[in-house]
Amino acid sequence: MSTPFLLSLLILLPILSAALPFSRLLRHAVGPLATLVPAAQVLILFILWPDVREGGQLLHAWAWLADLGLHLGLALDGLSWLFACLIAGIGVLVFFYAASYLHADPLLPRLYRLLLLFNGAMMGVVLADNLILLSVFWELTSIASFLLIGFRSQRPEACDGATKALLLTAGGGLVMLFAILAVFVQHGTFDLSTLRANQVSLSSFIGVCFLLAAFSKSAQFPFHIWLPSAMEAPTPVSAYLHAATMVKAGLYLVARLSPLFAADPLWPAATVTVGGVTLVWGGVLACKQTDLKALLAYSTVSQLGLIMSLLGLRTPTASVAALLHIVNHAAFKGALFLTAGAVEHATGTRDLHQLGGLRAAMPLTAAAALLATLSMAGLPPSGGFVSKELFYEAVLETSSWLPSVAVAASGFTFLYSLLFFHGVFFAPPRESPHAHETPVGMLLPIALLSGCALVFGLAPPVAEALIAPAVGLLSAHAAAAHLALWHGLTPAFGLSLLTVAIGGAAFLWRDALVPLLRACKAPYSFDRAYSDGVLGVNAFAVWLRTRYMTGHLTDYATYLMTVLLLALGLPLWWFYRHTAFTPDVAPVEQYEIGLALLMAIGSLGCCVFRARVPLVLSLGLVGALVSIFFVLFSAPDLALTQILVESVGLVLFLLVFRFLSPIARKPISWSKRGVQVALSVGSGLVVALVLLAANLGQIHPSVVAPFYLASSYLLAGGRNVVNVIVVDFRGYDTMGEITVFSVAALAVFAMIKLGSQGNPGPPDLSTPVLPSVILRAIARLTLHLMLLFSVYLLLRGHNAPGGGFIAGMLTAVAIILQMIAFDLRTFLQEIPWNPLRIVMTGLAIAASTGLGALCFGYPFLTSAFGHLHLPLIGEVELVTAVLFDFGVYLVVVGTTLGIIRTIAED
Amino acid sequence: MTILPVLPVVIPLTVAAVSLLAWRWRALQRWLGLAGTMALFGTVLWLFAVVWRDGVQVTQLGNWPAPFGITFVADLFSAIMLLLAGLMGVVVVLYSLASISPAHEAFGYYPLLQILLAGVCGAFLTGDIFNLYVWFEVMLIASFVLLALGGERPQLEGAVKYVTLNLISSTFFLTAVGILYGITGTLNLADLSRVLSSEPQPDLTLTVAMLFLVAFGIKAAVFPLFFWLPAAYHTPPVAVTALFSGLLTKVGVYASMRVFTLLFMPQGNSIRLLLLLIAGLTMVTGVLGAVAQNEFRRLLSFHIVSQIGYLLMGLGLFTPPALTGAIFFMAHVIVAKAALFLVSGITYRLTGTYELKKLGGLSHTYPGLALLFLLPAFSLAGIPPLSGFWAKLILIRAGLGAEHYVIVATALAVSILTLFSMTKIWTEVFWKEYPEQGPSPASSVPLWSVPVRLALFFPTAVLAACSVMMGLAVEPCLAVAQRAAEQLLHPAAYVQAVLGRLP
Repeated sequence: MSTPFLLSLLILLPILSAALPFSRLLRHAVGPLATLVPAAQVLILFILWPDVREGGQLLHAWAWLADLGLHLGLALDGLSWLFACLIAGIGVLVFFYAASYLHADPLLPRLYRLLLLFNGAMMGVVLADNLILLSVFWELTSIASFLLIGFRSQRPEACDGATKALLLTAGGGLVMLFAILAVFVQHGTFDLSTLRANQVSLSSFIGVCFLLAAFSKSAQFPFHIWLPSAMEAPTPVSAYLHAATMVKAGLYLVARLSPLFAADPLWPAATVTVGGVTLVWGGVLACKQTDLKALLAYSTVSQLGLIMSLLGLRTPTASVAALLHIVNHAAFKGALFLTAGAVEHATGTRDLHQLGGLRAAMPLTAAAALLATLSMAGLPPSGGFVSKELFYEAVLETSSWLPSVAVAASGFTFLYSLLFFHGVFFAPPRESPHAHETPVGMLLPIALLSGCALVFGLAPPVAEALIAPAVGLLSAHAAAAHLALWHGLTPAFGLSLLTVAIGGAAFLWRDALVPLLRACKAPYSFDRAYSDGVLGVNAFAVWLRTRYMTGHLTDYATYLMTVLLLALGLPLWWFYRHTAFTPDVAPVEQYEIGLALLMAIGSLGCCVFRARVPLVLSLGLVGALVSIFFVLFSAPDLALTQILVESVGLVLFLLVFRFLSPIARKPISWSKRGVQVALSVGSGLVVALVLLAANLGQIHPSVVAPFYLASSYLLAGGRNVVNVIVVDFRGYDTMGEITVFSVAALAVFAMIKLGSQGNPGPPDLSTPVLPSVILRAIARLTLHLMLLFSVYLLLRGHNAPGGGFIAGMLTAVAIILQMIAFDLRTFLQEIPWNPLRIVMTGLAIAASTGLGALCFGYPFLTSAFGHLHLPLIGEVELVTAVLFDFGVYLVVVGTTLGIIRTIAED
Repeated sequence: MTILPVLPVVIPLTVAAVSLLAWRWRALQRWLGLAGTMALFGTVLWLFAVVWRDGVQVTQLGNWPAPFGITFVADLFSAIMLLLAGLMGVVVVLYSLASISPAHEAFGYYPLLQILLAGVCGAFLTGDIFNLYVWFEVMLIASFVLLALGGERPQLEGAVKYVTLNLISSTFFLTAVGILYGITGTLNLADLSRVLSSEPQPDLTLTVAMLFLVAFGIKAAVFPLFFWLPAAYHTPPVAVTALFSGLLTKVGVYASMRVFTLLFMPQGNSIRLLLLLIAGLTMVTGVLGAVAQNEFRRLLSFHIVSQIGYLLMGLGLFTPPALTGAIFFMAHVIVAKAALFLVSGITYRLTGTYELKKLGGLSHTYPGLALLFLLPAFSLAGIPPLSGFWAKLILIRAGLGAEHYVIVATALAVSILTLFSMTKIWTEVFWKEYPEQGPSPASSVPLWSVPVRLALFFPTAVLAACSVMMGLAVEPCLAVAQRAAEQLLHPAAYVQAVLGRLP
């Protein structure tokens, strides 16, 4: 098998297996089957070992988004290989353990799915050569972690812990994405191998972004708060994700990127400082815990801090120490977490106050845990001792303050290690009737991990073989370092003795010291800061909503008008600064001023009247005056349309008012009213100024208007240009507008009918009808006249003022007149057709004239015309457009009729 | 093939008319609706293929040459938008089959849906600024009726706010069209592009541009003009909300992108900075509005606003990668957001509530539904490898490339807040224990028939799968978006296709 295939298999195998039908077909075999996946990964990594052991690198890239500078680049070198081994190796043990730990849980298949998904994503993180790919897998591990922490989602703490972990780690991931893109913008590549080959050195700013991501993932101070909350996850998950692998992704990132920041002074300084603070702070907090997993979580925080600071030192010794401790920590912390799980499994509790003396009931577990504890405490002959010695050696090579910090922190480590082991296995026994030895399925992984912890100390070459390929990548001179259990009487050994003395003394006086530590409570913690932050965002959001999203339409309209004024005001001001104010307007006649004043009065009426009828009448006044202006400016079609629309609208308004209660107006404050007045006046002014500006700044004499004038008769067969534009040149607009009209009819029908479905009782039509006989006579007489005239308007519309819309409106007015004069119900019964049917027929006629053109191979709505002389009416065009106009007519009539009928019937 | 660009409007209009004539046969209306949207989807696929192969497609309606009649133009951007509209149409009609009450059906739900689709397609296709206004009106009236249908009090209140504020927008739009015609003497977009590109009156053009910006800004629900959206979107049946979220605001964004690329090339920094400012504020206020909500659909509605900010960010940056990002983001957000709304509808069917407090535990009873929520939710938050990740990645890269660091930082911060509010829904609806009061979802679930389940889950799954596929098969999607962006930035081809000569 080719190596690229094997590389991709490392990632694809777990991700594809996650989709296996575990919950149905493979229910009983899920544990063993899932365990096969990391086992296969171990095998693959073993096969690939020869390729990387001499410092070689396997690199393969599959073509992908070349335009974006992306490809699926995977790389395996010593560092990746080391981390991949941890992921796969510990994966095998944890997967095996989980099957016993949760053997009866119906959610076991889901656990394995998520663990497999995580395994694949984590493999992706350490194998990715392309930074974007790295970021993809990075976020996927956060997601998997989120879903695993919330595995016991009935517990609110689990939900909170999961959210906290996700926000901090995925947030860090986003910052990293930003950094990655910044790298690309500066250096034009996403590939780590290319960046390394070009010996690029990146800026401090990018470095800080990467470090933020690494710190948040690896739970460094002050982002450490998510890790203890993540202990809500089932114990195998804690052991795997939150001790052995995922939290080390940050360390991996720092180790991987360090060479790119070789010249940057901030990078090592920040890493060492933050790592050092985390080391001490985590240790202190760990000593205070009573929950086993919490103790281990803070211990993990502390140990991660240790490794982080070692990575920051960048000396050969420090690099070796860091890598060795990564391996050691994975072994002993994995073992201890699994022990904690076994203890909880046996006794039902993780509380140190309720545990003790379990060495009798669980001797094998105690023995295994002892080895792991020795390693954590840094005592011989464990691997932890070797790496602690190296750690001391590394810090002794550097500044003066670091060794003292190291010793103090190690003292705490010693203390909490003993507290853990003593508290569980030796302290005075408490009542735990069901305590029993750990089942083999769980004991075996614990024993193997503890065994590793011992072997790394007794036989350093084993650990060396693991880390050797990686060492050369971190530091050029470290390749020669040889590990040994016994280094001789070095200063480092002295510090180790000192640590044991301090830690031992602290343990002896633990009854005084630990309560003292617990009593010291910081007045404000970062945990509080996180929850306050969340609450603060919430509170701010709620405040914003109540302040600005009032739910009042007037407020929203006020916002709109304000924005309009601001948006138009500034460019207008610029315009008038550069342009002389010499509008090219016709002389203003006195009657025009009078009409304008009347219009202003009408508008004012709309503002001041409180009752509906005068309101509508003043609105009608404005409309009527507009139509007079149309007449004055020689636009008879527009004037006719306007006046008819106004009349129909007025009647409809009045008709509806019968059903409405009086307007209830809340008192408006004077300040609000002032704003409204200012906005009204301002928007009127601005629009007027814009119109004048448009007049002043005409760019182009229109080519369209002369064309219409010239070819209306020649090409479209009509002398009334307005009508020809409406039904022919721009017939599609009309098509849309009659659709709007039809929907409006439907709207009134549907809303009123559907709304009144719940209301029992027949509609009240007994309103007094005008008993005027004269009105009836006139109405009866005018009906036919008006109908006749509207047909005339319709037919001649193509040549003289008129047309479908106007004719339709006139018909509507005639019908309304009848309605006012006669009893509604009898009148409505006289009309044989369903108004909606009329509307639909009209639409269909209009549409089919358009579609007809398609049959002749012309575009939609192409018209044809011929002329015909009729007595009395004169020349009539046989224009298809007239047929279209007839459709418009039907739609208008049907809609008006429909609206009136619906309202009246209700 | 001159007929092709007209079909996406003619088909739904015809279906609507036939459905209206079949007023009493509700079953017929249902199947007509489904067949119509399928036909529409097929047509837009065909149109997309033709545009991809042969370039910009043009029809001169009424056979009047370009600046005199009305022109329908399909460039790649239009074709993409039509494709999305067609997809949304099919998905929503399918979902409606199992979720719309007989009362809604009896009063023309399906024909109204078709008319709305016709309006949307018309807006995407028209090459005439006044005709665009007409389609906006068609959309507005159809959407208003769909909103108000049902006649419950909160629905009517929402609908009235919706229609009033949108009518103000229409007024602004119409004023802008009038003034533009006054200045240039033409309404054809390509012709306008030709006339305005000489920029003889920069300040006046800017004024008109601002008027368009405000009008389209209201439609697109940007800060501070978005208030109609959260007031209305949580009231109608969820299928309607999904359709609105997918298409209505996006038409506003489409119109802005069309007008600002074709007519008012924002070469001047001022408009671009203004757009970026609006984009940032829209993102932030939208997501904060979402954080303040405790109701499933209201929360999602505010996210619509927030995501509009990202689209404007792409327009404001105005570089080829930025517009590519905006187009990709558009497709992503339409699909992901509609999927989330459909999930909220299924949740409602199961539990009878949208209140987060009254929901819980659904991931145990309905793991499949949980997955259908999780995928688009994470996609929206920009989690890889889903569509939202790439959309944001491209936009942020474009922002860094253009050295607009503030908007980049805002976009990232808003991503975190989006993630936060998505996890809020997730933990409240799917994780936490089902609250004591009320029947638990497991016991109260009606035994849904297979067709009902199919009609509810299949469209939701299709949308979720689209979001995943756009993430996994990002390469071809991006190639399409890139070519569409190039066409937008170089309108010469568009103008030539319409006017038949080089500008």
